[in-house]
Amino acid sequence: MTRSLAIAALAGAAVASAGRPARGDAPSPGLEQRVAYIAGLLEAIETTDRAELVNTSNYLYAIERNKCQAPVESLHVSCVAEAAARNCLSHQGAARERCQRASDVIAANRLSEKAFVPEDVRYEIMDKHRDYRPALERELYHRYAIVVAELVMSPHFPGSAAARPALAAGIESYCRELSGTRSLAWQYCVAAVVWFIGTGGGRS
Amino acid sequence: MTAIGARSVTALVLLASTTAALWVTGIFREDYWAQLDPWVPFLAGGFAVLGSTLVFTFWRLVDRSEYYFRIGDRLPWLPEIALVGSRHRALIVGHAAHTEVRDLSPVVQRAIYVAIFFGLGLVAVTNRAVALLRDVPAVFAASERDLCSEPKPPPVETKTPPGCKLVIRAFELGFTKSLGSCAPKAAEQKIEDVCRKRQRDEPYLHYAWRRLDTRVDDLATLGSGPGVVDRVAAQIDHVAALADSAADSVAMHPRSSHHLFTNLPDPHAALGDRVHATLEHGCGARLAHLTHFPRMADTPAGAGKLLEHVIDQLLFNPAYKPVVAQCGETIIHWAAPADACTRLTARPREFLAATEALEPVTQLIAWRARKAELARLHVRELAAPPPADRIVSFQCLMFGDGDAPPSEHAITLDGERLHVRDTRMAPITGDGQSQVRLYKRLAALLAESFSYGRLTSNESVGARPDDTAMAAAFRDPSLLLTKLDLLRDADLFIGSAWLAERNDVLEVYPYHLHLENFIAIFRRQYALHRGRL
Repeated sequence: MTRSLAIAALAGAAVASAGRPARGDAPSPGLEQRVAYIAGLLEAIETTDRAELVNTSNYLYAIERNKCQAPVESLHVSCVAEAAARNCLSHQGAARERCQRASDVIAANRLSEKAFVPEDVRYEIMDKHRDYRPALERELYHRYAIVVAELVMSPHFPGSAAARPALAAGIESYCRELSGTRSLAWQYCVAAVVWFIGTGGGRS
Repeated sequence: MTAIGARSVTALVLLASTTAALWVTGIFREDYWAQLDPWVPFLAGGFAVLGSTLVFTFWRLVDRSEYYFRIGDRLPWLPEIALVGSRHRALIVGHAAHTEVRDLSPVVQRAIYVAIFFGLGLVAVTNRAVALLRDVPAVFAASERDLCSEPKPPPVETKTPPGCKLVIRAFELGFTKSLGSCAPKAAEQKIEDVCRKRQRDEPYLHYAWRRLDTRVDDLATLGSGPGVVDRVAAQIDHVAALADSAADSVAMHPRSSHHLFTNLPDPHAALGDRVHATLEHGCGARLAHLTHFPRMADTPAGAGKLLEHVIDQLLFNPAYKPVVAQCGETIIHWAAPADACTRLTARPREFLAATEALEPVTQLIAWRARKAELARLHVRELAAPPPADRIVSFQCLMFGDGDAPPSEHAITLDGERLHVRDTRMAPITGDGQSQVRLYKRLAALLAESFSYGRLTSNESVGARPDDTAMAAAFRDPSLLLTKLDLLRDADLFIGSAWLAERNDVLEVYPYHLHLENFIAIFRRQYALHRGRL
């Protein structure tokens, strides 16, 4: 709880220092909360054990591909969200919060697959690789890397030495600008960037 | 005073330049010569002999130079020009027909020019050039494709007709002298089209003449249509229309003229904005950076800018397909009187003249009439032009008390019946719902019979989540990213009133999903009623 408050306070300071609303001159409603949330996501991905991340990813992948299949998108999404929340019930306190945040990033990335890898590319990958999932993961990671590269080259990037809240503020504003001008949802952009940076940004 | 003849200097400079060029292109390298086809130096040598002989003859290199170069004082009595250097020591070029100047002997000069042309030949002629030259006869030779195929003898029937085996056997053994109906028959020859290519034994000149004759005949008649003389005679009466139509096309005059009258003030009234608008060629730069759903600026020009943005999105933004209009051809008339459409319907010509809309409209109607005239002539593959009410239209969007659905009137201008559509809506404010209202109102105004509902939306048709449940889901901040995907089923254009109170969610709303669908459906409907000449 204390850590969350600290993140929120730092995020507020980062937002105030950034002072660059993506659209219009008025401050963006809910900006501080979103920045704090992204900072929390970054922290969760960075601090969670790699094996646990892989387990969560595998679990959500299986759930999303099997039990949560539904013709109505909202049912599909609700089911994935519920599964992600339930998966973290075994944790307590801050660990549960961290698990939920990491699960949120993983679930959002799972849902954004179609947006990042178009159907034809997906079929191509499935055609070329017997076990296509690792190849698909590599392709996704490559596409996340492109988004991150654009962020780094944009004026929203606070610098490689910036603190986590400042980076979160940069991710938030960059993704808001991206979703405002291109066909990529804000949450897909955030999840991709957070996952890429949080898991080591191609170093691993 | 020693002067060197200009011919010698020229020869030496050209030789030095050629040597440098050869050095740079790597022709002096050993490996270049190792791979060189022997034909290359042979051809280059031939070229060198020919070129140097021509130069030697036409430049009269056998004579001494009349022009010369020297270094020293300029002599005032001779036609000399100091090129560079100081007053007493300059490089001088002069002309004296009989002055004794030092010149290379004609043999040496000739040798130099042979070397120069040999070098140029080596640069120009390569192994590839030699290979191409070798192929020249094959290229010019008539290929099988260009010749009529050899006449084939009719294939002989080899299959034994039924019941003939015994007759044939008897014939072979000499019991009968004739095979009768069992005799092998030549297969029926198919009637083939006459081959109009070159016959195998046809002299080339005969073939060329035949081609020319065919072409002339083709020019004289156009399929089954009238001959060229008849066609030209018919066109002479319409020369003015032809010329004007060509001028219209070349000048790229607007091919449609759609006018929207609104009582909003001009958002670009400032001098800087006007200068910028004048300098802007087309609207590509503006459209390239359109945001999906900008917030309305809290200034007097904010509403006008938002209206402009929505029109850009609906009609022009190339990110959405198909593009149904050109930005210079839809004109917004700002600060129009609230009863603009009433006045327009009552006295169209006067009202349009007062709002500077008459000229573009009448010009376009005249162009359309010319196109119709030319289409009747069948001079080119011209289709009849679209009706005038597809390429010219008038709309009024007035902001004031209350909303009113579009009403339609008709006016007649230059003999053409045109539509006038009028609507009113409550003033727009900075909230997202106002922008959605503006989209829907403008879409209904611009495209007759436009409708957007649950069936055409991107929302799931079957089980749309309850608004209360959706609102409740977003009150809990956990799993925010995943839950934002639920907004795929919350189309702002057909409801989802709960979103109006959640500005924080609207900030990250996936506008592109629903807006793209809305615009695609609008454009399909718009293209049914409006178009370009």
